[in-house]
Amino acid sequence: MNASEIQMTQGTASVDPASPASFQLLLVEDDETIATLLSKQLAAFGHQTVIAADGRKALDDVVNRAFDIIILDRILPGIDGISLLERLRAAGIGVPILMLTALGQSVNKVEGLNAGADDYLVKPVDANELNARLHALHRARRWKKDDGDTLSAGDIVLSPTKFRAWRAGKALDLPNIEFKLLTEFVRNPGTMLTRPMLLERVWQYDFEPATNIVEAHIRRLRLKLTEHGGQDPIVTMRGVGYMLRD
Amino acid sequence: MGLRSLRALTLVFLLVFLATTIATVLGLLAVTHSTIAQLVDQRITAESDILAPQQSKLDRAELIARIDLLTRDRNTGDLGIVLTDPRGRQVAGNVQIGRPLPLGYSDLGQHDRIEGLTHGRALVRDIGGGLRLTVAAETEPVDHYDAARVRIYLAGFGSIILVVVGSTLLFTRSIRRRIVDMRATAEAIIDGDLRSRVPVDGSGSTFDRQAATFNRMLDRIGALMDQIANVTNDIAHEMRTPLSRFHQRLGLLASHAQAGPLRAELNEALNDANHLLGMFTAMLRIAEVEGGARRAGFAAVDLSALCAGIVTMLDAVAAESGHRLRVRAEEDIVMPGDRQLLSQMMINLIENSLRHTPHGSYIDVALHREGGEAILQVTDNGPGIDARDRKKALARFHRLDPGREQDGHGLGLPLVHAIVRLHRGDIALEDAEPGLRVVVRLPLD
Repeated sequence: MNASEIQMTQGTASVDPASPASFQLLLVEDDETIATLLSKQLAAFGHQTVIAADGRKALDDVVNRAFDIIILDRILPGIDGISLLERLRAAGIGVPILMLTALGQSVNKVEGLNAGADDYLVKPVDANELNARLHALHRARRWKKDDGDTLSAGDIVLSPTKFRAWRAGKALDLPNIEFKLLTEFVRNPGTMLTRPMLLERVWQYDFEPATNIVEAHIRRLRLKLTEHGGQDPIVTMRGVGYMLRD
Repeated sequence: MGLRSLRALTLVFLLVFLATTIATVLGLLAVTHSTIAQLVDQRITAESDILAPQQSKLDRAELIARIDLLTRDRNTGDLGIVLTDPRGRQVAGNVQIGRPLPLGYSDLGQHDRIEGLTHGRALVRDIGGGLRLTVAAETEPVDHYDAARVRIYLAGFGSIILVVVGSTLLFTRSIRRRIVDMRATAEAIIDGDLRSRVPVDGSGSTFDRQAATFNRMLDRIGALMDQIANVTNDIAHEMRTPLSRFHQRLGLLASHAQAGPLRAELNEALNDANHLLGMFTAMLRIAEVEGGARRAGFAAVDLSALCAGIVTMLDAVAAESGHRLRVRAEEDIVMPGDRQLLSQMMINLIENSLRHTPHGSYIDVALHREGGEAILQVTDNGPGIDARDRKKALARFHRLDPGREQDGHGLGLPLVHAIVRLHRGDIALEDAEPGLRVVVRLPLD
């Protein structure tokens, strides 16, 4: 195993030292079985989940308790997910919302994001993937800074407008995709970025190619970053994703 | 051509009709001719009998006097009467006949040089005492009556023939047009265009109703085909939730502390579930594309830039698996489309070649404009696909090399096919000698 690889399995709650280990979550899901299974899996990561079986109960819960993140199913009895989302946003509730969509409804993803969701995930949900996204959402909320001209993380500095990047003061010669990839890491240092997250954000794909394009480009980026020496700043979490050391 | 062809049948019908008509005209002419001759014969026999009754001795002078009287009478003045003595000299009568007529009935013609007579009949009788009485009458009420009759018949029957021939040809052409329409539709359907229909003009004619019925049959077949296609999609939709639960449960089990000794097996099961999910994702993606809803989101897509970008992206992957990926794309090819789907189409095509060719193979991606179409070609020099398997390669779940279980789910090319159809293009698999060439044609507007 590579020194920068951390073997991670579910149940090891503290993955991301910079984030609080435990979130208060509201899961709005009408399928009882899935809701129970999901909350059990989330509990393994240390999160506490309140389940709401429909939109009305969800609205009550949101008023009565403070949640870190709301996980919202797209299709619900009574008030559907999108309407509920719009009501929450209209009521000034700014809690990050992760939308769950059923398999094969990619058109609806755009709709969900437009309605004010912060992220979306296709069911069935992989617990690691969901956990990584919850952390990413939480961090993005904490440091919602709109960057000036330069971004930095550790000894990496980059300028998205000038399309230039440096590590330890030395300029990096990065092709387009590697530059976008590095920008995504520098924007979210210390946050786990999963393969689907990177595909969405860097490539803007709403599908997953069969080949390992993320891995291939991460490998190239690593080579560029360690060209002039220094430790590999990207940590691989097997089966989950990648993280830039904070 | 045989008697079964429409053309031969028409021809035979027309020939028979023509022959029958001509026979009718000729028969009619002959019958009227003989009928008139009979009637005239009856008349001259009667007149001859009145002049010289059978078995009665007649005085020659009285006979001549009767002849005179008869020829002056208004009713019988048109008769020609001649009385000759035993030496053949004319002793009485009102006409000159140019030749000696035999006894009994005979035809008279212009060659007999009888004044005012073109066609007629004559009766010559021996009335005793060596005297011969000839009574002749015209068979034509007017001059050149036969010629006029032939002209009338020609005009009458000729117009009937024209009408029949004309309408038969029109009729045949109309039938032929209907048959050609129907055949064209059937052929279009054989070629895969299940939306093709026989033109209906709304006239409510038998042919029109036939076409409408034929179309209804095609609608029914189309609906059945859709049902069959939908079954797979429906199954996929229906199984989403149970599969989600199954996956979630397996995930939970695998993460359980007590799962230790079973973890390897559970992870294998989880992998299988993931494979199943990949298959479902692809099926539902195909269903989504085939649904056509994404057409609403079509926007101008720069295919050239898209192609270059994807090749650059996959170059990293190709390099790792020892493939050489080359691109030759014409600039500024822009078409209305779905950027995501067109990307997925190109990625799937290149991934397909990456997956099915050995290390060291090359993959050429070419994009150019031809007429109103963008033509994308992905060519490799791998083992290719057998000619008879090429069509099947676009069908769902048809894996050409079943031995390679780990390779995808057999839905890569069918998804490409669906995406191409959504963009109203077409796709062909060709032999690159050696290797496979996939040619995708997409209309630019």
